[in-house]
Amino acid sequence: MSEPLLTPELLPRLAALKAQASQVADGLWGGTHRSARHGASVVFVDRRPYSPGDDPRLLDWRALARTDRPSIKRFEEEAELEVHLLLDRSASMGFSHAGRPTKLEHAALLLSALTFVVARQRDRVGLAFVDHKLEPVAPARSQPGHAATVLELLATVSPREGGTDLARALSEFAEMKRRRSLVVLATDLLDPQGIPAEAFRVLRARGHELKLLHVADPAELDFPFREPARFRGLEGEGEVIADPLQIAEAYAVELARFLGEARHLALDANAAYALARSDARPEQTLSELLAPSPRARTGRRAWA
Amino acid sequence: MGLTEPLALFGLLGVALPILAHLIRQKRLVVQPFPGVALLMRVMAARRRRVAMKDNLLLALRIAAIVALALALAGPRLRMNDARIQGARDLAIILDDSMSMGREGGAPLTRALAAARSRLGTLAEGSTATVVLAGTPARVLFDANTSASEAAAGLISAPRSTTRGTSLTAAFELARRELGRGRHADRQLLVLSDFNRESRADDVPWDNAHLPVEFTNVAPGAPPNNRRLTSVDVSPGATGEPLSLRVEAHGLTEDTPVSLDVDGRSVAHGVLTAGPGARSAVLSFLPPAGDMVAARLHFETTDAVPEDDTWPLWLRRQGGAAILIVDGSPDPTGQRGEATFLARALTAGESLGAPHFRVVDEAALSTVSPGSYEAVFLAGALPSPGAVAALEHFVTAGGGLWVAPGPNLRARAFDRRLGSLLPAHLAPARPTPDDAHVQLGEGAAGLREADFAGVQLGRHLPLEELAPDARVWLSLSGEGPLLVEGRHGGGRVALLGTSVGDRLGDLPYQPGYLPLVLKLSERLARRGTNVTDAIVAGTPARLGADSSEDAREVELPSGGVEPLPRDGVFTHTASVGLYRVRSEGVELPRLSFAVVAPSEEGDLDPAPMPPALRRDPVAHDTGRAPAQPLAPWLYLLAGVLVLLEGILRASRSSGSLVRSAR
Repeated sequence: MSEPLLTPELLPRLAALKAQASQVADGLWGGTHRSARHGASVVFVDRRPYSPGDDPRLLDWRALARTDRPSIKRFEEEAELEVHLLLDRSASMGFSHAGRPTKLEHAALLLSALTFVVARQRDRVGLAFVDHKLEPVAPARSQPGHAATVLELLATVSPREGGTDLARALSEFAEMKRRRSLVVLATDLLDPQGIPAEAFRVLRARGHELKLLHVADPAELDFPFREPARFRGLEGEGEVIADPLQIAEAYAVELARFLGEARHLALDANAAYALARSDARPEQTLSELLAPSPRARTGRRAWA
Repeated sequence: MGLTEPLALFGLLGVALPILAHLIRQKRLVVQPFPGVALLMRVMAARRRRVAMKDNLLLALRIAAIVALALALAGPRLRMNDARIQGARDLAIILDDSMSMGREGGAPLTRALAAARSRLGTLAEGSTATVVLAGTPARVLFDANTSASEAAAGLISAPRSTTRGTSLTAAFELARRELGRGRHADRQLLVLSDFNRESRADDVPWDNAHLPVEFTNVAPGAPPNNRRLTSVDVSPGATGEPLSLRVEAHGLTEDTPVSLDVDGRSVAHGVLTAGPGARSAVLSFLPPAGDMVAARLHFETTDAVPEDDTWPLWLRRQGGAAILIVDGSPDPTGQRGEATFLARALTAGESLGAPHFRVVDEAALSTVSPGSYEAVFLAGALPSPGAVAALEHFVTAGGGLWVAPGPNLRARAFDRRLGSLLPAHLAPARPTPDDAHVQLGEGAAGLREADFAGVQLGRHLPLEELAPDARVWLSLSGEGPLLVEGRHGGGRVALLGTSVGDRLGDLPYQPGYLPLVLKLSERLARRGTNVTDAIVAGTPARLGADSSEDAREVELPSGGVEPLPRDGVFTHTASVGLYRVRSEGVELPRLSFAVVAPSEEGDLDPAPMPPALRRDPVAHDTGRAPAQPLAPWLYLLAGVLVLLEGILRASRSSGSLVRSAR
């Protein structure tokens, strides 16, 4: 993966994408995203009674004339967005079939595209790898050269032998990152402990906004095998001897149940969800992932 | 419970087959890495129980089918414990119907029949009776499914005196086999015979049956004197000269006159002088006219067993053997073909008593019955596979065959087609050196080597890997055998490494060619004996198979006619006398044969009779010989199991054998 993931052909197709948190941002510096702090800005929020010590420049003179009571105007303070990219690099992500890129390669491509988008907005972007634990590899920064560092890390990532423990990795992330951020998790969700719904809720409770990229190879979704075989797991799950023609239907049912559960748990944690087939165009997957959630479009507060 | 074929139980080892097949099939599966194996495991977890149950059931069905099949092949039999047939038993009677039982008007046989019926009458209701006739060959008259009353009724009219020998051992095996198929635990064997020397009752392994065996001598007392003719031979003689017939007889207590009748007319007389052991006399007579002449040698007075006082025989004319020449390369001019030279040689020799012949094309060979001839010459002819089979039967049955590959020298084709018959292998053709000259081998004794001194051959086929009994007739100096002759079955086959015509050399123009052809013809056609070999009554006559569509039949001494089977084995030889063979109404003299009485059967001196074997039939049988065969039911069970296996396998369409292994 030493070759750059973002090709000149792909970059124009990413122009329309915009990484935006559906909830408030919590940056130290001013930016384009709503901040949880109120301050000087042009976006009026509400009024509050004047207290001694308030800046007299914030007095609402019109309201004072109408009500004869001094009140202070409150404005939203805009902050820069902090985006954390979490990439599952467990052994199962190294799977590919019929000459397609591995799931890890495809996930890295998607996150590279996101890095590009975030950097273009001058927001901060960080990167961490996930397998049985969390491994931060790049802190969230917005310096011009930082995005290149992240892209280089994504281009050289490789699967790591061993299992997956998403719950532990996400909990470690939640403990480590107190400041609110946008978290993009690219994973195949193939975790022996199951989908980490509780970790999703913890992230949500800590104020993070989660976007879930569920990466899958078409062979996992379509099960194109025809001959009886010994199906062997990539993370030491063991093997299954089966005739695909006889179990294809049951597998499709089980897969649909798994995908439905993943989508349901993601939505339950107010997380955006996108199924990322490794044969799909990256911008399509990302536009689905970055589309404003229905709650955001209706103006409801994400955490309300 | 008992088994008739215990070795078949080794088939039980076959239960390992489905297991091995399952393991091998699993081992041969490709490994497919798949990250979603956890999903597959969930799929299987839901159906593992059902699939595993079906798989286990399938394996059990397969193993059960194999076990049932192996047990069925082992032939288990179960003793029937039915209260309704208490007291019933299976009785097997060996009834000697050999020639000696017909002495003095058949009195011993009459007594045997009476004893058998008497014994059958004492059996309880439900008993079965097997009756085996011990005359050669032993035959089952009533099998194990015959009730005692039916057998008793059948014996009133069934067996009569024959001219057969005695086969007590074979009869014992048949009786034992039939008793094994019986229905009752109580079984018994009764042997009714005169126990003469020919019966050799001491040699029979009676004890092997583990049965109570009772012996009854139905010809007690001192045996009557019985003379018997034991051999007849006619020495060869030149045409027109008297023949010498040597006759040998036994049991002569007084001088006994003997006569030879030809066509019902006495042509020679002699007297056999009294004395112990073999006595002989020589009768001289002028050979009668005709190729095959019916004759009968006989005592002029009869005694206790008249059948062995007569010796029928076919007298064959010296020479005159029928030879079939198959022409593989007919010459349009009719002057220089392969067969032409042979025919000329035979024609020239006919005045000297040489064989006469018939020439047919190669393609017509399959329509001709070789059995009508005494020798077949393949002059450059390569017979079809079907004709080769007929020729092989023909030679095996005593015919002669001469194979000359002809001018084309197709060594490989001849060797491949006729290899099993030939006395040597044919190597590819090669040029014959100019200085090679013909040498005579042991087969050509009597011929003169000087008569072949001028032979010049262009090419020849080397003869290699000669059969152990092959005799060399001609050889080429420095090149090896050129003409060899060997045995095949009862006949002889000669193989020539060149052509019998003049296209490859000048062999036909040599002075030695004519005597060589005649001598070899007589050798192959088995000339030199004047009497056809006699067949002992009751033994099959092997007359050679016939691939043609012609219906062959045999006229019996009684005048009756029986068809001759395609394989040429004729078994209706119970009567002493002359048998004639015809094909489509045309008599085949070469196949005609004579049946004589078994000479030793006429020795009426008694042999020691075995002691009765007394056993407790019920106690013994309980553990050894089940009466009810279970094999049919086991075959049925195996079939049902196989059917169920197929149905279950088909119903397994939605779930395969799945095994999860960590």
